[in-house]
Parts: sequence; structure tokens; C-alpha cells
Amino acid sequence: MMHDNASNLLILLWHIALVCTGMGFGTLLVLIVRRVWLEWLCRRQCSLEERFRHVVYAWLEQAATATSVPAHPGLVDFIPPRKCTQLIPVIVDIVRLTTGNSHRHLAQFMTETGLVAMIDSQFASLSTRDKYAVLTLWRALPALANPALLDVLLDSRDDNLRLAALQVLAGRQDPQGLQRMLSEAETLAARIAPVVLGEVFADFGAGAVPSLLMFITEGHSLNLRLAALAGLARLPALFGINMLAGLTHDPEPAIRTAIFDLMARQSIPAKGIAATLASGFADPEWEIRVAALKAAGTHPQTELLPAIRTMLADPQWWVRFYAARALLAFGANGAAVLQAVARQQDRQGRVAQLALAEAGFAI
Amino acid sequence: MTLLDLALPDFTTSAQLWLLTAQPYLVWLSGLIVVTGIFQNAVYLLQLLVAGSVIQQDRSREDQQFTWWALTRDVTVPVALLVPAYNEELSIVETVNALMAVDYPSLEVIVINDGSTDTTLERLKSGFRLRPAERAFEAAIAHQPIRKIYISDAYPGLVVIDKANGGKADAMNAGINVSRAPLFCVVDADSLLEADALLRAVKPFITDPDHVVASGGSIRLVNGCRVKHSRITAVTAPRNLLALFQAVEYLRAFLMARLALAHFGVLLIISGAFGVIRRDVAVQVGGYSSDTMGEDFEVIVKMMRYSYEHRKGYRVCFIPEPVCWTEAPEDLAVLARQRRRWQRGALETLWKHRRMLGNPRYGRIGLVAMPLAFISDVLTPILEGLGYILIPLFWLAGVLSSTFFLAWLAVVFGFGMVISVGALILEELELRRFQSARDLLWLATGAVLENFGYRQLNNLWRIQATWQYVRRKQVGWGQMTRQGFRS
Repeated sequence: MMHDNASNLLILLWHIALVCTGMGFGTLLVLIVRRVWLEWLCRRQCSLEERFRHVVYAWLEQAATATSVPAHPGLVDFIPPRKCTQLIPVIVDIVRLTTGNSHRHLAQFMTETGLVAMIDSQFASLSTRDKYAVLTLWRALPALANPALLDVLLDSRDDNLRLAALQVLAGRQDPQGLQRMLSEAETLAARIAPVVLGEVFADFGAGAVPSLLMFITEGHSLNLRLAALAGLARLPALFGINMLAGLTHDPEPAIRTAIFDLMARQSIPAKGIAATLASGFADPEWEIRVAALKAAGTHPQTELLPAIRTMLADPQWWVRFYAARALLAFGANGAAVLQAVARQQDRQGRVAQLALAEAGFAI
Repeated sequence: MTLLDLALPDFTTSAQLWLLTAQPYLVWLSGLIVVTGIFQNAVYLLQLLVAGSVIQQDRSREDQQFTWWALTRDVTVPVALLVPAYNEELSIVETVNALMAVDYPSLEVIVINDGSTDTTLERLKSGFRLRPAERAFEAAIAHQPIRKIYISDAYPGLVVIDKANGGKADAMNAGINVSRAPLFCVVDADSLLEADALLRAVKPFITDPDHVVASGGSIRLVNGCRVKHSRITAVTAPRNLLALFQAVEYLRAFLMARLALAHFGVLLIISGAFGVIRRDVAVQVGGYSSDTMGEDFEVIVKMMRYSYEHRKGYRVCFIPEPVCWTEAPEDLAVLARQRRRWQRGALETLWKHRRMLGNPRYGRIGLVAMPLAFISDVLTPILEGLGYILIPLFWLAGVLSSTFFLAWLAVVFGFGMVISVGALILEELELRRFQSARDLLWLATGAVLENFGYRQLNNLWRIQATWQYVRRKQVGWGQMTRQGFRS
């Protein structure tokens, strides 16, 4: 009985294998036939794309050298409106490969030939992938962005699509876009990586700074605070670092690290932050001590020298190394301290020797 | 019909008597071979289905967003590209030039000359106008001594480390020590990267910075492809039969198995040819182990072990997009050496971390990933190899029924083809990197033919490696002869 069952099972297995093999090869055959069909289609489509690419480049070349912009070729004569979406990736590609004036000419070309109108009219039926491509295009050429369509995208349920639309508005320095961004900040922060959100915040420029400074205070979510700090890090010339000093005792280590990192990037000379930086040197997290030392290197303040000198004895190698680098930022005074330490035969001496050698100083 | 469809007319010879006595045991052994085969194929089929679903969802989402993401590149974190090089004089300058041109905002290329006996270092020195320089670094991981570090004023992102020979793992450890970026990416000196490979591979670290510790992508074979200025300009299937079989194998391994394993959080290997890893975690676990040949497998196992032991919740990501192109051996002897080395590496890692096997303390890694690795790397080669010899023999001797024999054929060859063809279907539906229908047809031919000869050879090499490992026989890496990239 058991043998009969096993035997039936084996026969079943044999049949399953036959069916699966048949299905597998059948599907593959269908795909190969489809591929032949696609290759035939592609040959036609490629010729359209190549022709378009050729026309655009020729036109851009003329526009770049001519004193007056030449008349555009009759683009619509060879591109049926329903085919214009095929050209979106080609246009994105051209945008990537060109810069400056060419972008302005390209925007003009697309408007005059009616290509912009064609894309706008078919926007609703575009695939999500093509919508991203159009958004990429709008981001590079903000003049082409259609405000009505952007409004539609801002109501999209797809967070990334909404964020991409906001980024286009940021490129246009649209104040309404900023308002929208700020009102949605908490929702987006819950789903988007802080550095990415910060990048979009920063695209709005100076207008976003007061709100970002407000967001970094306690009371907002950690992600939003980190996003605001990431945004501020991209706009270092627009605020003074003294405004951040109060946050260096934040209970959240990620915030403390970001604050000191921000201070290290901030190139505007700052005074009266020695106590703030010294508090960073005493932080229990070594990453924060490193960030504070980097900031001390950016804003060398003489009263910090003894504190930095003591950091050369930190148990963490990276802290010792950045302490040595911070000392080098003090010029001759710091180098002299380091050269004195370099004579020691302990770990302080070794890291001092390494930092001096790397910076090209005699030991 | 019964399972034991015996046809023994009379018991006149001692051989026949022996067969009759041993018959139940032989049947059980054959049963075990078939059951293992069924289990292995069931796992593959499940992986195929899961990979199909994952790739369909992820690919569309990734693809939609990627153009936009590529523009938001300022948020990326610095990466150190580690390139261990041993006797790579023929291609090193071209490779480094190609790596320096990778589209990534903050990149440092660190070439580690692992005591080459040829002119690798001289070529680097003259090709990039290198000069000796001091660079402070913490010897956080042990490695052979560094003789000198070179930098280039003409190529600011390039660092060359010249060190005493210590093997690939040792070279990578030196590179990790010298690097300062939070992430490092190991690339073989004979591999080509896609221009946006790093942008893609780093994305998981941006979206989940606290948990992602390693990220890898599909590796594809450059054999047969057209290469211009170290860039792939046309993707075609290899014309060489041995390379073709490997192309099918790579599709199966990367597009199907690794994608599905990563989806379930049980991926334990990021290819040594391309993988992005968090530096701090790699240092924490002691870097790459020089005492194993599967250092890429071992380092991930170590990181996941550390994650469970310290409750870190780390995860390993995988990107189905091809990110790196590497050359497959077209010579049987070289391929055999490579496969024996891989098998040996897997066995060494499994033995070294045997404590994790089936141990609930290590969660799904201990309960799923390690047992799966044990079955596919230890049990399957032996049992499948035994099956090729014993089952036809038993069937001819009349110990096994024809049904049994057919079932075994179905398991070994039928499902083998189905799985390869399934991976090809995935490639065609979702990635479509091969340029013509002719390539697809040629790959399908490879998917059928590889089951007759190539697969058995692979099993033989794995059994040989297992035997060498059991006998504790020391083996080296051997010479890897390459054709070079045809431009």
C-alpha cells in the first residue's frame, strides 16, 4: 500500500515536471516571439527618436551660435501627438548632457514646437515612470513646469511623487510651494529619509531657513528635526551657528551629532562658541566628540587649545586623530603643541606623529 | 505498479542474492536522494516565484523613481571603492580609470597592490603620476604591513596602497583601515561597474541608515559583450559554451536566489566582485577573515551573527539591476579551480559558524539561512553526485522501478531546466538587458544543455572540494587566466 502511494507520488512528480517544463518553455517561446516583434517596433521607434535627437541637437547648435534664434523646424510634421511621450526620455537625456544656455534654448524649442503642450495634454495618461521623467525635466527646466499639473501631483497619494513635485516648485522658488512643503513637513518626514527631505527643503533657499530653524527645536518629530538640520547643512551661509548652540545638549544623540556636523560645515566666522564646543568634547558618544572636534577645527578659538590637547588622550582613535587635526587648524600654535606631543612614545604621540606627517610638518 | 518493480528471475548468483538482501537499503538511499532533490527544487521554485513578485514590484518602483533619485544625489554618503589587485598589470590602469569615472558625488578609489610580483605598481605609478604620501589611519584590523601609500595630485580621489602579499581578504582589510568613508565598496580589479552602480547600491543606506549594513547587486558576465573605454556598449550572450552555461547560472543565482533570500531577510552572501558595506560594522566584526576562501560569505555571516548577538537588527539588501560585469573563465581547468575554491569557502564558513546552524538565538539566519546553506552546499552536491551514479545503476540492475527512475529524471533534469528557464523569463520580463531575440534563444539552449554534463561536472568539483576539506588538504587560489575585455 505504502509502495503504491509512493509510486503514485512519483508519477505525479513526473507529470508536474512535464507540465512545468512545457509551461516554462512555452512562456519563453512567447517571450522570444514578443521580443522579435518589439525589435521590429524598436527599429521604427528608434528612428523616430534618433531623428528627433538629431533635429534638437542641430537646432541647439544653431541657437548657440546665431545672434537671433532660428525658426524651429516643423517638428509636428514628423511626430504624431500620440508618439510624443516616447520622446520624454530622449529629452531628459538631452537635458542631462547639456547645460546653461542650451537648457534655455531647449525650453524655448519645446514650447515653440508645441511639444510642451503635447506632453501636458497627455500627462494624465502617462505611466508613473514617465511622470517622474517629466518631473525630472521640469526640475531641470523650471520654465516648462505646468502649475495646474503640479497642483494635481501635489494631491497625489504617492509621497515620492508629491515630493518630486514640491522639488520642482522649489526650483521655481515658488512661495506657495514652500507653504505647502512646510504644512506637509511632518507627514513627509514620517515616510521620507531625512537627508532626502532636507535636500528638498534646501532647494527652497533662504525662504525656508526660518521654518527650518523652528523645526529643529524640540516638539517636532526626530525625523523632521533631522531633515531640517540636513536642509540647513545645505544652506550654511544663511544663518549664524550661535543659533544652534542651545541644541548641543539635546537628549537625542543624532541631533547632537547633526548640530556639531553643521557647525563644522558653517564657514561664517563665529565667536563665543568655545563653551558649546567644549561641551561636545565631553559627550559620551565618540561620534559626537569627533563632530565637535571637526567644528573646533572650522572655528579655531584659542581658549579651546588646552581642551583639544586633552582630547589627544581619548580612548577612541578617530577622536584622537580629529583632535590632532583640529590642533593643526590653529596654525603654528597648534602645530607646536602637536610637535611637543609627538615626542611621546604613547598613543597620543603616535597619533600626533601621523597627523603631522600627513599634513607635511616636520616631527 | 509498485515502487519495487523487481525483475529478478531466479537467485542463482551471489550478486543477485546480495541485491535482494540490500534492496530495501538501496531503495531508501535512492529515496533520500530523490527527496533531497525534491526539497532543493521546491526551494528553487519558491525562490523563483518570490523573486518574480519582488522584482515586479521593486523594479517598477525603483525604475520610476531612479531618474529623480539620481538628481537628488547630493544626499549620498561618501564611499571608498576598494580594489584589491594582485598581478593585474594588463588591465589595472584601464580598470582604475573606469572606476574613477563612476557616477558618484563623493568617491575615493583605494587600490591595494597586494605584493604583486609583476609591474602592477609601476603601471599605477606611471599611469596616474603617483607620489608617496603619509596618510594617518588606525590599524583597527590586522593585515600584512603596508610598505607605502601613494596619492596623485592629478587624480585627487585616488589612493594606492602598496603592501606585502597576504591574499584578497588581507588586502581588503588594509583598504578598510586606510579608508575614511562610512561605506566601502569592494570591486574586483577585473570587473566593470555600471555608471550608476554606486548610486543604486547606496540608496538602501540612505533610506534605512540604522539597519542596512550591506548591499549588493546582480553580477553579470562580460563574456561576449561589446566593451568600449571600459563601458559595456552592447550586452550579448557569450558565444563560448562554458561561459554560456555560467551566464545562465549567474542569472539563476542573482536574479532568483539572492533576490528571494534578501526579501525574506536570509541573504548571507554579497558577491566579492561588488558589494557596499558599512565600514564601522565591518571593523567591529574584525573585517575579512584571511583563514577562509569564502571571505565575502564569511564577513556577512559574521556581521549578521554580531547583529543577533548584540540585538542590532541589521539587514542585507540586494538590487536586481545588474551593477557589475565580470569575466567568467572559459577554460575548464580554471573554472574547476574557481568552483572548488567557492565550495571550500562555503564549507569553511559553515564550519566556523556552525554554532548558528539551527540555533533559534540567531533568528531566521540560524533557523533558515544557515540550514539552507548547509543543504545546498554540503548535502546536495554529495547526494546529487551519488544519484548520477547509483540510480541509473540500480535501475539497470532492477532494484528500482522505471517509475522511480523517471521521477528521478524529472527531479534532476526537468526541474533543473524549469528553474533556469524561469530565471530567463524573469530577465526578459523585467530587465531585458540582452539585446536580441537571438541571445534569448541561445541562452535558452544553454539552459537545456547545461543539465547534461556541465551540472554534473560542477557537482564533481564540489565533491572534490568537500573531500579535500575533510582531509584538511591545503589548497591555494591558483592562477586565474583571463581573456581580457574585448573592445
